[in-house]
Amino acid sequence: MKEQKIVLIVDDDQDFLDATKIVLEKSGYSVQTCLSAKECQAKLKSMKPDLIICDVMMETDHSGFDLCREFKKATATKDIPVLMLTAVEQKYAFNFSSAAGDETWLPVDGFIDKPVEASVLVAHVRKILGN
Amino acid sequence: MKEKRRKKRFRIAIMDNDRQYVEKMITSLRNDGYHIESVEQNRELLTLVRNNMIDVLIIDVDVGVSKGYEIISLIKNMDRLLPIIVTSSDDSIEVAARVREQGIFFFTIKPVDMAEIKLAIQNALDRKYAYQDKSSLEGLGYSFKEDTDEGILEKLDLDSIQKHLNWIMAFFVHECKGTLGAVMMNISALVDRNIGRHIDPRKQSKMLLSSLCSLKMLHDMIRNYVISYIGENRRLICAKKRIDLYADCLELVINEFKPMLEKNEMNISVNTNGGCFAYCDAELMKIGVSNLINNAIKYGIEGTAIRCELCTNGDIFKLSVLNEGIGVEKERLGDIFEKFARFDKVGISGTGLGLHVVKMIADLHGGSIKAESGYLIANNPLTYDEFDNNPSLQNKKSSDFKRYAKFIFEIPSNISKISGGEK
Repeated sequence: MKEQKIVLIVDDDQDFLDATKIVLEKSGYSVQTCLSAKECQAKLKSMKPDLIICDVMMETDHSGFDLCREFKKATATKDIPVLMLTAVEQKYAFNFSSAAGDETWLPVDGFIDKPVEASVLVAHVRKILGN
Repeated sequence: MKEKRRKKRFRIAIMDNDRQYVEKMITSLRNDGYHIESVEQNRELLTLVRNNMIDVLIIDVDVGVSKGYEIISLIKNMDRLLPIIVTSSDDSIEVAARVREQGIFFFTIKPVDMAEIKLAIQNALDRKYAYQDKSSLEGLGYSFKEDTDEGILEKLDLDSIQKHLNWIMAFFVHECKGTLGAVMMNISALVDRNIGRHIDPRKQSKMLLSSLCSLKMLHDMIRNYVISYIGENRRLICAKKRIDLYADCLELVINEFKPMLEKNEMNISVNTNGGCFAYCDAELMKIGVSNLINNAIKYGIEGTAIRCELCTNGDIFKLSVLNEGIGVEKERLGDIFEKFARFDKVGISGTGLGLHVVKMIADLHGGSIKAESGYLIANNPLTYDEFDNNPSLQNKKSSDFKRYAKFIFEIPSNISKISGGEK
């Protein structure tokens, strides 16, 4: 039997985590969730997900970016693709480039604007992980 | 002609006892395309300001029942952004100093130079609309301007204001879109043929309940933003009447929160000595109580009870709401009613305006709101100070006890008004 791909979702909204977990599980993925960047760092010591979906604004306005930079620096996590969830995009006056720390490089593999429909999220995940 | 059309939308009020001067001003400014109105009574002027019917005010400081500078102070309280041009026949330093203390836009000694007044009007309008025309959303941001004696325009430059407004907009959009995130995910999953049919009915019900709760949160956030905006501009109307604060307020609010209580497996116990009548605005009271209950659910622990106490001693009506949860840090008890204050933003959505709105409502009723926090000892709340000073608890570690937060809302019952026929 084909092994299930693991998706780790990091978001400070418990309701969003619950809903997204159901959606991705019903779409065939194994899902782990974290409510904060700190919890995510602890969890990654004992597991290696195939994809990380991470919110930008959690403890701070850019804690999602800080976390992603850590993923990309660490040997154990640098190859894990990351999808960034955002409820505030550049159109709404939030400057991602400066928040990301480096205007020429954002440490993620794709952005998803919140709110997002279940089928759109699943399509993003499938594009990276395959069916 | 084009210039005249552009100016016509601007409304100027002039208050001065010198009829000849007023007529001259009216003729000249009307020729320039302004809508100009002469006002004789303070009450009439305050009504125009309250209803946002003027763009610039020209006032002589020696008019009205009270001195002009006294009414300027009232006007500034109602609309801090209204440009005021002050004239006076008295060229003493004392008058000039007193007028300038009010934070007016321009001051000139009579006889006035018409060209100078017109330039002042144009500058006042340019400055006012340079801010207000940027966008309606940024206009809403004025509700959150810094509370300084001299007003934000004198304190901050345009860049600072722009950054401040951008931050407010980004913050509000983030909270609203974030809350919608769970709703969209749940509902779109339930209606999706590939996903929805694989979800068992119990989970489906939970997803619907969660969506309903998120929508309630969103509704409350928008309501608090609007109430805060109206309140900051001193335009919140307090229509008082006699109400039963249990049957007409608390009970209705608790009903509104039933889905949220069910989702969090919480309940509310109400302790009342009955007959809690007060002379107050029923809608505002419901908003205030709703924010207190919402807060207690959001920051309360699942499976616990929220304790409400409703009582009156005849003069004062008191509502307290206590929840077991993360509590409020001792040093933050004083600033928790500030705009955008949050206990702990991780995992809890909201704009941090709920308690600020409660304070606004308490103030409007001549009442108060205060926060208390500490530890639950054998289910009894002890404040941080009571805990520290209790000899029997000296060897105990505070971390061994659960924390609580309690909000105490008090307003005068105004029983005399109730029995006096103002029902």
